[in-house]
Amino acid sequence: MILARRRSRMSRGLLLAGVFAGFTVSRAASAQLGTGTGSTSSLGITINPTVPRFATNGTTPYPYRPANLNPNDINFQDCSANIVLEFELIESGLPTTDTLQVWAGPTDCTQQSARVSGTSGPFCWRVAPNAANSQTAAVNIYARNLTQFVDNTSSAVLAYNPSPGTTPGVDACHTQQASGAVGLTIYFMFIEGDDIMLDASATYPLNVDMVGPLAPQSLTAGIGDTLLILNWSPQTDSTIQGFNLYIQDQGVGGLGAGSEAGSSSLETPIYCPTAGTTTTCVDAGTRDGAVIDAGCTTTVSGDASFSIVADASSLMNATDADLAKEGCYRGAPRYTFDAGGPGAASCVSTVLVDTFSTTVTASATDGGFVDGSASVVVPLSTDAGVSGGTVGVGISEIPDADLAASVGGNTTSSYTLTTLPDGGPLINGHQYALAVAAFDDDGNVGLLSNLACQTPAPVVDFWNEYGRAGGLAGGGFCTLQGAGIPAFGSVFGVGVGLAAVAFARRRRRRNS
Amino acid sequence: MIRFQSAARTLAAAVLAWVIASPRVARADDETGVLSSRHKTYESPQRFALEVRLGPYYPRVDTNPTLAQTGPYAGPYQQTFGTSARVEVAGEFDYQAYRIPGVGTIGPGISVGYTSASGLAPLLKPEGGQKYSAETTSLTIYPMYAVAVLRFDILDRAFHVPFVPYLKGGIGYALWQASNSGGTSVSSTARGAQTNGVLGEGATWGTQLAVGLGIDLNFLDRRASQGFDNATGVNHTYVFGELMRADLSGLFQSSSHTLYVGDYTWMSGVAFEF
Repeated sequence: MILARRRSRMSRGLLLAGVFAGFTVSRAASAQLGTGTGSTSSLGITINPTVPRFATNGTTPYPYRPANLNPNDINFQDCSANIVLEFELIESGLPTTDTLQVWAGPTDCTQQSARVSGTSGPFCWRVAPNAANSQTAAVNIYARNLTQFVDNTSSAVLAYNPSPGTTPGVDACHTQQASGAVGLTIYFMFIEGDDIMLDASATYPLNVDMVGPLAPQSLTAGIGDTLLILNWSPQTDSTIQGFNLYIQDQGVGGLGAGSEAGSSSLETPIYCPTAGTTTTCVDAGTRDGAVIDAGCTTTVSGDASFSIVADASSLMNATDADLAKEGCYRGAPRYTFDAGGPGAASCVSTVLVDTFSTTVTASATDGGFVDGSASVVVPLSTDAGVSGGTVGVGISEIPDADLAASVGGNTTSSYTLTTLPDGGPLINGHQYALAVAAFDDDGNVGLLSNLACQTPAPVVDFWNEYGRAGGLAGGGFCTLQGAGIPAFGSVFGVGVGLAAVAFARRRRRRNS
Repeated sequence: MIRFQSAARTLAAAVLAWVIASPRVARADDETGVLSSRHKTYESPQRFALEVRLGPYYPRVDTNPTLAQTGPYAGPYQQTFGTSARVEVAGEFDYQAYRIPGVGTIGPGISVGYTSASGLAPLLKPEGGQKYSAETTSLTIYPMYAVAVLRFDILDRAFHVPFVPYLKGGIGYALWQASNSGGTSVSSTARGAQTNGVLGEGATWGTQLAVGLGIDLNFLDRRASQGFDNATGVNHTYVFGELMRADLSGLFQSSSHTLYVGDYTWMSGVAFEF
């Protein structure tokens, strides 16, 4: 009943899932069937093509991404939220002694070699607890059970046995080592009591993509009148679908001056660098010139700017292998250090450096802002081989609440920002912190660009210059529309038109 | 249908002309003058002219006597866009309604053009040595006119002197728009009786005069031009230059409420008569 109600709720929105899902149903190999329990020819299982998605509580429908962002893939956000995929299986003719086992992997999980240790990989892993055979079964699969062994070719994955009510932590979302989609197939298999022999199986393919695009580079914000003009250099990445633009109102003078205007509703305050802030910490370890080593320390002081110490800008040129070595993941949420704020360190949605630890000494706080000074120590675990690195005070996690605009295009490099996330206008004299991040074809938001801070200010464009000189023209293309403009001009224009028409008609009449 | 038949006739004539003109023997005969006395070259009817033109354009905004002529606010156009002229691109279509015997053609013509000036808008209060904002400010003008066109092509037609002087005169009209990075500009201060912002777009009337000289390129290769005429219906191809006075200063409009967007300039381009 509950299942039916859920399906009814989701049927409209999630029909798409079934349409796009290339599910397949297959019989086990005849040899296996023959050596099984003597199954009849009618045995088999089918999967309902509609695969609803729910929040991790299993009941709240999870919103789908737009069709152009591969709504049936698992992206980082799906993993981070640990959504539940609900499959409905219909079995017929299979022995009641069979066990329903659900595996997933990059290879054919119906082969014993993919499910038994002692053989060579790649291997599959279990993604849902075993269940007894019943004619109709709803199988819930958590996203993290699907993602936790992506790119893991070790036979250790065979040891994983999901238990009801427990799921892997967010580390399961950091398993992908290279950008792009990884193809997985979920196998629903009815296996005999010996835990080996397969009676029937059905498959459901899907892609996992948890690595977002590289960070846009060289973000600048130009001053405009109640607007800011952003320019950046996009990275070359065919998966980029567009860019998210984030803006945060720092108030008059910026947050560093003690004003916290606009921050109350923000998910994560962004801090523009202020005087006294040390913003770089390059190669503070062994000082070998080009490599970030352990023990990089940066110090911030003043009433501001401590929140992040991550390696956003420096790692964007690193290879995936470098990132993997260092435990950094593109597109993955970054570790957010927010010592002065509620809850201190947080890791809401993204981790750039997950082997990263920080210590902060703050002399005092005032509602989340450090007074005095703070020292931030960033002991990177190993020499990552990343060249040109800096550890700086910058932006941390993707500030979703500060999303002001999204612009499509793979090579888009500029945008004129006129409104805040709440739809309100930018205010001249307020400082704004800005960042840009690319998103890919699975909706993964990549690393943030460098932080740009700018303050809109009044400008004198031609029209205002003309007005200051005493000009009174304007008001609209139709001269009658312009208030204060004599209507004679329009009357004259209309008159010319009428005269032309009259002349033409007269000529035609004379010719005829 | 009639147009289609006309085109078919033109095509047939072109093919026929090509067949007749191609064989060497026939041409050789013609060179002896044997055929010239019996053949008259075919010329398609000529009723229209089309011009594509461009030239420098500097709108005479600052010449409006109602604008400040001295002080910090004088010369708003020059202050914003500098002293360099921009380029105007335009097209003109003429109907050669009547041929005056021994003189040339006369008829109405219309033209639509485009020109735009843009630059960075200065900050109201420069700070830290920064004078300009990142905002772009621009003035876009679409100059148009309806004129009578008189082309003195008697020299060309009667004496094969390829020079065709011409005169144009009529009414000018321009749509214009002032914009910035946020879209169409709106004045931030009160103007006259208006307390609200005034949209930066409008129209200006004026007069249009031009005198020019076209060079008929047919003289370069009369055989090729004849073939071109037979194939496409284009009788004459010109390059031309003209002096133009687009006095768009508000014909029957109040000066104070008129943005002067005309210019006295020269234009050049190519023209086709067909």
